[in-house]
Amino acid sequence: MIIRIAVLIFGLWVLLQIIFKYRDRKMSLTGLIFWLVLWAVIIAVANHPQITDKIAKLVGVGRGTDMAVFAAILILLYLIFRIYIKITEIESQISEVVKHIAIIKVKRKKIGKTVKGE
Amino acid sequence: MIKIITKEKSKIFIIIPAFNEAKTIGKLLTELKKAGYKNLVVIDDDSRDNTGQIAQKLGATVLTHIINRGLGGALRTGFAYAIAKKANIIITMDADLQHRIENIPNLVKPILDGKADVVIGKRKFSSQKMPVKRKIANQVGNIFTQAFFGFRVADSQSGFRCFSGSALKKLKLYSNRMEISSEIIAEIHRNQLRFSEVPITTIYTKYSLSKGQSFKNGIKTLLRLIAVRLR
Repeated sequence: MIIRIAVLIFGLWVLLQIIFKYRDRKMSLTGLIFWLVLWAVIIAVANHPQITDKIAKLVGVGRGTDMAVFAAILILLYLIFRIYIKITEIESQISEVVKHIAIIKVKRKKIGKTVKGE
Repeated sequence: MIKIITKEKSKIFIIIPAFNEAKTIGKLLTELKKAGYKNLVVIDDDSRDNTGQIAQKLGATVLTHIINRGLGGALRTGFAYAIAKKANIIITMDADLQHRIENIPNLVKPILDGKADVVIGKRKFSSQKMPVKRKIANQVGNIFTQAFFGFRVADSQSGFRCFSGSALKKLKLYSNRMEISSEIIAEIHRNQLRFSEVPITTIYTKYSLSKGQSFKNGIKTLLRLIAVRLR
């Protein structure tokens, strides 16, 4: 029973965080929908575990809890993969910025030298 | 021995990525200058020592990274500079003195003769001097480069390369670290560039070995290579 209340409180807190992040424009609309649905499902499953049994029967996995764990692992792996790709992309963008700064600095130095030489 | 004339040397841009190479960069630049190469570009990848100052004093163009970006990031900066300078021939070489200046003409010749767009110096893997760990790492690099990008080369991880200006412009590179070597190979293949490999001699000193990839780094490189492939 305690676990249900804990998940409910924690889930509601996360939902609020998601809404705030969207309000502060730190999250896209797609992100908002994805996370809201995900957490709504988590809260629903925690409070009505029998839902998972029905879905498990439907997809052919033995027990509802097994299916929930299986789905959770899949979702986590997918999210890690997305984050990994995103970080790689951001790293590349940082390099672009660093590259531009390095080239601009050299150009300025050379212009400075020419002016002094004149 | 192949020789290149001074007029041709003035067209060559030598790009040297450097991170904490104060011990060797001075000697390398002095030797390059002595050999008649004038366009020396050092990318100081946020070194903690005075690599940048030494290079500057010796008359090299120093491109300073305000944050360490790794080998790939440094090479990309050097390439962008060379392209902006309309360089005809671009060489990349390591700062740790493992590459020999005498090999530069061998790398440049196929491009000057119009026979290749990119030339890569291949190391002798049969050499006694190359440590076993290094040999294995290089072969693994070759195998994965072939598996991911479908292009077999003798030495995909070599840092001694030569590009024609027009070929370099075609390469779309995104890697930041060691995986850049494989990405370059993939880009040569994608752009259908004329490619040649020439044998080079490498000198392995305690210092240059300490600078190489560790096993842990190799695994990281592999993971990044997968990310490059998935992009």
